[in-house]
Amino acid sequence: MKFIAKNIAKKLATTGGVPLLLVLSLTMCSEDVLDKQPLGTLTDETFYKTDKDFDAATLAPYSTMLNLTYEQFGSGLWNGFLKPDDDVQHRDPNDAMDVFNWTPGNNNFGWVWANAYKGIARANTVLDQLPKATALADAKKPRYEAEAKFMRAWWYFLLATNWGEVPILTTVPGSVEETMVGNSKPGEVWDLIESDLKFASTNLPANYGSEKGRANKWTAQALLGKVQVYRAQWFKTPAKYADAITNLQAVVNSGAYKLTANYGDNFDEKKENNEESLFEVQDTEGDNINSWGTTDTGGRAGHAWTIYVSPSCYYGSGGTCAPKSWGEGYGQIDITPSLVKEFEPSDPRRYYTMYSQGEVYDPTGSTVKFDSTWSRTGHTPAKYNRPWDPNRFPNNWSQNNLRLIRYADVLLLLAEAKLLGNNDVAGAAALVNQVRARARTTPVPAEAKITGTLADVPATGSPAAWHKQYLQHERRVELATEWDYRYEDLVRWHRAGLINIKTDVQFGYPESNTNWKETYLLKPIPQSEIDLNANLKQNPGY
Amino acid sequence: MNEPTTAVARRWLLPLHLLALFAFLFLPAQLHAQTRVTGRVIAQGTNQPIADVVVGVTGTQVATRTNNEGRFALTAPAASGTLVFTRLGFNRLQAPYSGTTPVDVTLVASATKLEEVVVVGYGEKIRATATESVAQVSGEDLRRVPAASPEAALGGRAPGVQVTTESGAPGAPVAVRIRGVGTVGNTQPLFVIDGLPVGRANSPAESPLSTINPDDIESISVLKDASAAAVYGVQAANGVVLIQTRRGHAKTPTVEYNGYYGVQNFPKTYQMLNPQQWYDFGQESFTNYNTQFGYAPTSNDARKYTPWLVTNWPTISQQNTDWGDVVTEHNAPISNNFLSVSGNSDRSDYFISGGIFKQAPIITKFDFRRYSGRVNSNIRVTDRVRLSETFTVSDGQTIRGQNNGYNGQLLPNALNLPPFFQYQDVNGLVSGNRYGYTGNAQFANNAGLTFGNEPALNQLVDARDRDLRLLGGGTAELDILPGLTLRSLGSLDMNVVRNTSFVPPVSQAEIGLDRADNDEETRTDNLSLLWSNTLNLNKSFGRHNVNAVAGTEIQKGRYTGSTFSTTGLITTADAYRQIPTAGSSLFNPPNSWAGENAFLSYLGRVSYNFADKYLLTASLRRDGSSNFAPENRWGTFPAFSAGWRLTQEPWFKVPGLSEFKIRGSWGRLGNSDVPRAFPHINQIVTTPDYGLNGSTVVKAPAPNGLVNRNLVWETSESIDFGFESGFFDNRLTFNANYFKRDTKDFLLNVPIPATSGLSFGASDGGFGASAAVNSGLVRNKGMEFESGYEFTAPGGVDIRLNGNLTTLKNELVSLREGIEEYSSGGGYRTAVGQPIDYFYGYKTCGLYRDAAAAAAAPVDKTIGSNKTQAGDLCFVDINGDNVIDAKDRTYLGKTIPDFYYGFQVNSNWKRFDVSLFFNGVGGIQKYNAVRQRLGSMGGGGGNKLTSVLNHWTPENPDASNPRNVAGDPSGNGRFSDFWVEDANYFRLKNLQLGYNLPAGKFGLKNATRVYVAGTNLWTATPYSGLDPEFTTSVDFSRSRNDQQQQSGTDNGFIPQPRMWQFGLRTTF
Repeated sequence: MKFIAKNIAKKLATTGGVPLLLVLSLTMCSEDVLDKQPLGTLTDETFYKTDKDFDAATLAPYSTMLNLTYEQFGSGLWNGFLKPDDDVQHRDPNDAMDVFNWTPGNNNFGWVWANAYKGIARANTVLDQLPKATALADAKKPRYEAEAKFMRAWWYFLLATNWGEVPILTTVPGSVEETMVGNSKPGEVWDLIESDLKFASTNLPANYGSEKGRANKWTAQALLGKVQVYRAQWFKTPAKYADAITNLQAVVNSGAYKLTANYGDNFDEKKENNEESLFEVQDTEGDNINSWGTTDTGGRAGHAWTIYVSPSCYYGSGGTCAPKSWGEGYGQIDITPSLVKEFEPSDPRRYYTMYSQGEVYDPTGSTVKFDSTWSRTGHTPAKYNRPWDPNRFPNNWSQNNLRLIRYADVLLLLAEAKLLGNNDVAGAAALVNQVRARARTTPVPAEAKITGTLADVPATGSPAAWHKQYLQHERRVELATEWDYRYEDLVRWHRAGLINIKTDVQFGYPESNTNWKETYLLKPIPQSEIDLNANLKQNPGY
Repeated sequence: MNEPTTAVARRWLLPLHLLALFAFLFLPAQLHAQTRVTGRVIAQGTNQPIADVVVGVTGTQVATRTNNEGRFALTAPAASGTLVFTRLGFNRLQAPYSGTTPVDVTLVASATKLEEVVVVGYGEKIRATATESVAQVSGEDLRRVPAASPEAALGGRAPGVQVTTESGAPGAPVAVRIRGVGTVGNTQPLFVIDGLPVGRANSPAESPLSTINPDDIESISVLKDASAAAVYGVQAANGVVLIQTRRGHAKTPTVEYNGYYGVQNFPKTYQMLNPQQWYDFGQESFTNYNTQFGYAPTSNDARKYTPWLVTNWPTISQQNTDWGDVVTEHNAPISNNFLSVSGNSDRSDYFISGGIFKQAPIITKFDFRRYSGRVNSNIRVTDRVRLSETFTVSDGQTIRGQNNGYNGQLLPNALNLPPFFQYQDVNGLVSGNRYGYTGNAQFANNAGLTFGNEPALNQLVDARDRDLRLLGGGTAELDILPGLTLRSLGSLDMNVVRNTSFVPPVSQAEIGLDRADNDEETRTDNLSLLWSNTLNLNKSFGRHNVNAVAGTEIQKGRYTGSTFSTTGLITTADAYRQIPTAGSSLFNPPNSWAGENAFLSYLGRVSYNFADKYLLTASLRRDGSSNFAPENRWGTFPAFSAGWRLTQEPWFKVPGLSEFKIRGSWGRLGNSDVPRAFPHINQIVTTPDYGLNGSTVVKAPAPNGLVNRNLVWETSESIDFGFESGFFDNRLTFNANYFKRDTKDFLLNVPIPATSGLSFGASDGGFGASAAVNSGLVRNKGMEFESGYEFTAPGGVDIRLNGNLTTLKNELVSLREGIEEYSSGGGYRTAVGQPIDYFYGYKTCGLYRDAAAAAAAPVDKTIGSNKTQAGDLCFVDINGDNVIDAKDRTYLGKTIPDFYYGFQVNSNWKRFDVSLFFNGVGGIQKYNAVRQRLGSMGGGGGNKLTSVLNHWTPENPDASNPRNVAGDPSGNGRFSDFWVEDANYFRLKNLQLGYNLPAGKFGLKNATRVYVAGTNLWTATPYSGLDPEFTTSVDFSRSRNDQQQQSGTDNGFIPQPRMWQFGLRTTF
């Protein structure tokens, strides 16, 4: 540099060509130098162009589901959704989620809220970009649009059932002002969900071949039927049952799905995406083995359910510790006594739902048996966690897909719609008995101590009583501890006047019943959201 | 790398040298023939005699003073030698004497503060005729406070400049605020080192100054008003700090050595409960909990200690670990060794230096060292052509453990450990695991005894941060015509950073499961290139004086980085940690990033003065930045300033008043530091993936944040006016300035609702969505006062006093349309009508002293179904709706002070010099999160401060703390003013006592100064934490400390240490 500068300076000094340097500097300073682009990242100038791009982009709203289930201490889904119900209870008494001490500052709800909107924004991104993708054949667009709309509806359904009249965004915000959306009008979000799902069920393919995991036509139609059953009960509009019957029946009539022969297959890592599964979270190792974050933050793409529910130690009188407690089992939640009682002695499904005294726990090595003193209630959840595998790696992670919509759920929803919409007890009983028949023939080891044979339910009775006695029971034992469905079932039945949560439900801890009030039919909107958005009003009672 | 050896070296090397010197010093002086020397001293120009001139004989202790006629007489020990004449206000003079021949000398008045040359952008000015507001601090003053980074020593030295170091960690980042806080976003000034702007937007470089050796600095100028800074238009909205490095001055080659060695200690310590107090406090909190919720003590739902703990308590309670002491280093060493060679010949001058700075922390494992070298030179090629260059290279390394939050919440984490846990027992049940929380099953119960053994983990983890930086450039100057110079500067700023963190393997016995080792490595490199061409005109036409600058400047930056981590390492030796054993997978796959930015600028400034009396300056700069969309890329920044030196007017005669100038300025400045790179471009991230078919991993690209094409320059418009005055030949100076700075459209990453769905990568509960916006208007106004006085006290003590005070009022005037406030997170808020980032939470009104009072309390909805009890904190129902909820949160304090000040006393007496430097801050609050963590109620878990013992019980209703109950069912620990404290302070920042060894002895050609100094010796503050002087950065990457957001949280970082140092400076 010195050398060059010296030469230039000398030359200038001798020639007196002063302007040369100035001119040189001005030409060098062409304003083009300011046209910088981010390096090493895709932008919308390089992405959202081809069908390959949209194949990838449509996965983003699915991928967001992994965020809900990553946290090893149960933030989000498990704490926010599962604990409030009467299937499980937290190992420590007075847990705010469990005993209905819900406050807007509780981040467990916030985690679900934030991720739902993230999933929606990613679906909206696809919807925003599709019209701009001029190189993409128009014929290919409806499928991508339908897939994005399905996922948008899935996320909005999660929001609507938990928070009620949530803000609606149908495009990606382009300014801060556009992010400050107020509460929607009653029913508005349900209308959006239904219209998105109708579009999806019309435009999605019946299957994707080897690309299992994407929502297809029947996934969309099944979810639509479910939404309509919920809507009939939330808003006491029985007319919706007819729509639900149409959609759910179409799924049944398609013949695309059937119940697995073995109930346990639905929670078996080797039987993912099976004939009974309409939709599941595709948990994998991901491209990263760092298990301490979500795939969004560069972590894994599986879930922490197993480490969260595997027993650790119980410190009550006589309590003992499970093998590898705290290392591979945090024992955060136990099965409630009321769920244990709900199972008929002859129901093999109990074995697949919970661990009980004397059942094989660690099948490797010296065959450790489950000891009821590892748990406050004597039982811990078994779904997705049987067989317990101490050698899986990494120990706190599971790639076992969480099932979101099973054919059994479709059958039970159809039964409920027929029962309450058409007073068709016989039709409902036929469907329920299909589910029971599969349960009956599911094999269980002798140690499970299942006694007798599971009987069919009767095909007669008053619809309301039948609902209470048979349908509610069947849904509970068939779907226990899966996703958030139990508490949502309780909420919709309470809203429809079919049950009274406060008096009919045994949550586990007595404070849960003491504290429960109608406010808790909805979750509190996170306080930080209210702080940031003056247009947003808190749900009543918080 | 071989730390033990060098650690020993640094401990003995310096003291040994000094010991040797002193041995010489006190050898008995030889007796010589005595000579009577007389003479007279007069002043140049006036030829008036000067009284009180100290006349000494070099190499001896002999000295006297002149009388009122300027005459002196002394008895010299030798027949001939050298006399030294010193007098405040005059240049020092040496003159030979021989025999009794009278020595008559003429002293030249030295430049006073008003006559000094100040460095402004792209040139220099005489202070007296400058119209801009510029503060200048000499390198000499900066070096008094030992610090790795020169800006850390700026605090209190100059009016209008507030400096806060994040913590006492070696090399900790420093927050510099000039005339308040203009934005919630980047509020750090622009740093310009020898003409090169460093540390600009989007460059993830470290604090630009941490690589500069304070010994290399000639002076630092702070450009405070718009007129001074306008030539730096781009990025100058927060002011400009100009740093000039040293040049060779002496005719003969001069070698300078400067070194010190010091020890550092904690200024204060925390008192924690002993094991029995811990047990009793926990038992009480369980009992109160069980009583409140109606659990029989034997019930399964009751809180209680585990049988294991109860059974073993008699043994365990005998173990008392002082966890604070475990993590404390006593007399942690700090040392600096600096050597330079400089000289000046007809055609060139040079300055070459090298330095080694080392600082160990007062907390375990955080060693910092830096090697630096510099070559500065000027060459006069011909009479018209000059070349100069300046290059510095520095290599810094920090070796540390796992200190949460980067620089050490280690102390509070350690103090939190139950006192009966033990540090070193490897197989016992209590401390058998180094991580504490997993293998320690017996404690993992309702009592919540699940702790990481952070001190052990800190020792286990080996993290190294290495930073190599090259900074420099060359300048060519050509005199086209007399007074007209073309100047071309090309420079570069390059740094290469390699940070590694190694965690050794841990076993089942230690943490409950086997976990492989892993090593994480991050490398970044940054390059910034600058080319500036200016034409400088300096011309006088009669009494008209013109100084003008015009030019262009282009700056380009590029950065790249990559990170990955490996596990199952082939060997754990430092050099091979990146290599996994065959078949072992990467823990984190490689990830890389890169970026570019550019600035293009046109600048001009004209200064005109008539007869050094009427002064005018106008400047204009136009800047383009790649940070904005093309249509919003350019900003234009004009400024004007004017001054009038009344003392130059013949009619203005005030006795004693030697200088009086009024001055004022107006101008606009810009800031293009967008909170994220390329906010106008829709960037897609590919991190998320999804496993189709339950196994095939497919990328699921997603949008990354809100795209804002409308971002424009942040602009600050400021006015200031004031006067500068000098009395008694400028021995006494007094300056005052008023300033007002309006920053509008400030660039800010505002938190946006999670409903946006744009919270990519946020792991804190899914929130953290934010967007880069232009956000509103912030007003800073205040006054600056500065005064100096130089005099000779009776007994011949020369004293120089300097003081400065800045008052400040910061107010957010508006936010975006329709937005009145937003939460800044963590108990902070920014709202219209309030200062930026004030504390926002619940206000307390004492305790509910009895059940009747608690029963009458408003319903507290924030605690759900729980009820307020006697002994709970009373929270004020701000909105009067008889309910306590989020709407009752309010202003609790602020992070921007009302005023700050500094005061220096420098005095010389004979060969001794003493200096004291005080500084202080007033009208500021801090959030004592350490006290919230360690001093809140509810026991049986982590250890607590002894202050918790004074808590409410029915027998102690007037306690200062609320009741002791496990689980805090009433939310007494929530963020409230209970945890926010006044944090003003007045501090003796530095005290020095020096002795100047006579020249000529022991081969020392020139004066040698030895000194002892103490730093942070005494602090007066109401703040209860270890140190009120800290700032928190929301960004723990430590790359920059430029945000005001959440700046007042005391997380228990390393406090500013109390330091004693011993130093020496000499030239050969």
